[in-house]
Amino acid sequence: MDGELAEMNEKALEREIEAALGVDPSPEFLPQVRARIANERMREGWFWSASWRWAGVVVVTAAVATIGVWVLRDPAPALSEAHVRDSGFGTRGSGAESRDLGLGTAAAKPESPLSSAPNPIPAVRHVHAESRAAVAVPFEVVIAPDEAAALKQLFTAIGSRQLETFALPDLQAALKPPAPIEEIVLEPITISPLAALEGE
Amino acid sequence: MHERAERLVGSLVTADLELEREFEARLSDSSRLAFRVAYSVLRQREDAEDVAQEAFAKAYRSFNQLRDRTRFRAWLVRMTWRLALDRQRASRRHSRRLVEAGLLARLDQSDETTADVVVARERAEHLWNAIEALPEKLRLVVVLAGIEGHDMHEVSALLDVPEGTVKSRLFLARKQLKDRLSWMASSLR
Repeated sequence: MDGELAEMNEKALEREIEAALGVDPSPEFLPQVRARIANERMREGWFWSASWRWAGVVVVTAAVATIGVWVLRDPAPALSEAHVRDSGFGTRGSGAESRDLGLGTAAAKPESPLSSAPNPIPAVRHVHAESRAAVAVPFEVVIAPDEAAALKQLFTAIGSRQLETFALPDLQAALKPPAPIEEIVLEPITISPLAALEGE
Repeated sequence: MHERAERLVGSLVTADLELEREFEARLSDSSRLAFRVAYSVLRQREDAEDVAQEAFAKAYRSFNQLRDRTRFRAWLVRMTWRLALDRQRASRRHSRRLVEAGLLARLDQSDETTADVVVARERAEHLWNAIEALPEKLRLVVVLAGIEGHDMHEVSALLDVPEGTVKSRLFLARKQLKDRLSWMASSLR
């Protein structure tokens, strides 16, 4: 009897629990969950597109930085590496072909062009003076091909001691920087009144 | 090379679509379960819906990481249960809550008198208090056994524990419930 009662109680309790838990969600629940999932999906998509966007920005920045560094670090030939070329003018047709005349380093040094070269004529040259500053403002001297050839001959002759260089100091002197300009003293000018006018 | 890349992208898209479809199927299949698990803790329809929704969103985010998809329901139950407990701890609003929703709706629709409704409401309130007073492990077993007519085997699968353990836990839980509701037991006859 007690057992039956207990079983009945058990069943009744189960039913009671099932009834208490037998609550259904509202009809909007499932659509809301679906909307939330769609939202998650969009957020995920946004994440990826944002990631790609960021990746693009990073790649572009890296490319710009690399090019910048490459340009700045490009061993810009100093004036010492400047070379003389044919200008391409004159009788040799187009003259597009450039030739290094092998002037060496001293010929192009601006501060003392004559000090170390045997014949330091600041010749008419075609110089690519590419220094870091000169990258922005290129500097070049153009000479005619025949003149370049003459210069080459001259330097070759000097190199093989076929020419004496003792007469050059005059040139050297001519190329020296001019003496500083003396200060000009201006005396005050006094203008005396005209006599004729005074009489009037 | 190009074809291979296209094939790879195609297979990824297909895999994604399959995953979406599978998740949708699981969602339709388990939405009520998640809601009821949340409800058993929170006893508020809106809160339970919120928590179940949150659990589904979490599940969606990690769905592709779930190796054994047949374990989805168990996974969802655990997640919902944890989220519901967190919500319950966070909000102390549930201190004095009326039993609402289904039970009351059923009572309102029936021909029962106001006195009957009051008695039923009080009984349900006591039952909920008794369930809430159970240790967490016993509580979850009782709840899962009371939802959707789950049998021992299903509960053991949902909790990932042996059937024997479920049986003993359920026995213990019911005993404790009966002790707490002794006055109610006589009226249930």
